[in-house]
Amino acid sequence: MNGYPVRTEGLGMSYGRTPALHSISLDLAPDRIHGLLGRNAAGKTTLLSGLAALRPASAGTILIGGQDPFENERLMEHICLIRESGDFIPDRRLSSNLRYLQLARPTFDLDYAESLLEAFRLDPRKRAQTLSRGQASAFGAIAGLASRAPLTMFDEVHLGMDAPSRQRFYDELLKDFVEHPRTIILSSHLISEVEHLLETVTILHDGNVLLADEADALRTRGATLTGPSALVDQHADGQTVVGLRDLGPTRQVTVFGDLDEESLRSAQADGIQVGSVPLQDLFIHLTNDEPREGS
Amino acid sequence: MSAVAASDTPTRAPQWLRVYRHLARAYGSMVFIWFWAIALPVVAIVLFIVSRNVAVEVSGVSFTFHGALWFPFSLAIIVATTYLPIHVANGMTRRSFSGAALAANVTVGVGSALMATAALLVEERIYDALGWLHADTFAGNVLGVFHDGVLTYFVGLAFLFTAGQLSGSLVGVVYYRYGGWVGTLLLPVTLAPLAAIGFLALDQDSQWTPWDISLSTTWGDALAVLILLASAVAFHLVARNTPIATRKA
Repeated sequence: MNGYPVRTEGLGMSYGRTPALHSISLDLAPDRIHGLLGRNAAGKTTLLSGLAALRPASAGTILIGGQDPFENERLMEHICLIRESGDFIPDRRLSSNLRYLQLARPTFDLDYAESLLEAFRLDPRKRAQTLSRGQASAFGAIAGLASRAPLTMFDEVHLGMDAPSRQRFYDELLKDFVEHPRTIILSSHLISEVEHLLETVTILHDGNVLLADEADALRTRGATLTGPSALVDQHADGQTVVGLRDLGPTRQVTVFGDLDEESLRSAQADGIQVGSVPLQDLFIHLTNDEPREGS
Repeated sequence: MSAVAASDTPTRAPQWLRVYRHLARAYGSMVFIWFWAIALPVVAIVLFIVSRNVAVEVSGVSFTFHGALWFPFSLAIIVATTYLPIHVANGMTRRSFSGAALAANVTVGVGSALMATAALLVEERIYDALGWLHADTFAGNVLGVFHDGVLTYFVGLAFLFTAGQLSGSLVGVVYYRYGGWVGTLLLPVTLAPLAAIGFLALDQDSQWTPWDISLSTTWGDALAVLILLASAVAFHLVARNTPIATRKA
């Protein structure tokens, strides 16, 4: 085992008098890739900040590898949170920043980081403050990957990257995770892009845990029905529809809940294609506060 | 075996020491290259031009004193406001930051005092060789540089520069943690190290003419040093629980 297990019990965090997290209890197993999803201001960044000891908890406990990380020198060096905007020395060159990261983290792999600079086409002589948003995101991704920290967290780090860079990041993440297993928490809005990476999914909403489950278990709790509109509507009738897309005469609906196996088999028999539920549809359904039309 | 134990790594220098080295190098390049390496040639050029027209009776190097105090002071503010969040966000403790920053403050204070004293000694030799008066005419008195001795001058200046560093660190960390209003309201407190050395430890009429620095009364020295130590503790206490601000691109 290389990664740290993460556990929170009754965790509360606040900004002054404004609460951001309400009694969060989580149990994330080591050496897995966990997805942390939530709408804007759901509390994702606050939770990750607490796990990385950037902010003290106002209530409850955080245990990383069985210990409280706050001001725990040995533990904090092994916890890496890459934030969206990066935390680098702005007037230093990237090469100098990498040496700083090596100073900070005992597990940091400088050679790997330098090879990633080349892969992401970043000039090591460039100063951190002169990077474009996409380049800064890529540098953050490099810092996180090369940290090889037993708990590595990426908070929307890939948002600024272009599509090829994001794909490279996902590929590198998987490759390095296989070679150097550790606990990874990925927070993202690009759910459809990252869902294939995730082994578990935790959805935060308004500072509470809305759902925490195995990604595969979630996928089996729903299905997509694709086929002629009228036929799809007929088979979706009575189910909880959480997503709907039309392409000409073809309709795809995502149904979620306690599915009626018999009706699914019947749908397949009628020529409707039955697939797994996209996490994004599920996420939108669960976190949509606006009144929904009846399904 | 716990996860923490599973990721044991070879022993490295204590975190605060690694960070101290990093900060000392950063301060070194800023203070000694970007200040002294510019200030001293400028003084030499100015003195050369002045000596073509009038008799030189004032130390030129002594005018660098204000810059040598306030430039590193501003750097200390920047370190506390800008480097602290980077430090913690990269997995290091606030405790190691405060330890490293305080050690760097003393290093910069003593280093700058050494540099200033050495420069004045060299200047004194040059003045003697050229027949110039290496002195000050502050308050109508003509005082020779080092009139209380080189060591007294050096010690006084080292205390003053270190107090400047400490004040800069305190100002920065209080602004970072408590924001603009509280930071401004607490300036009389955060600037206490400078005030203590200036008003209690140094002669009243020599605070801003450091080339005739002489340490003042014993109780004043002791109180000033106590305030310096209390300020160092205050810096550590403010820094140790500071929440790191959430940043978005």
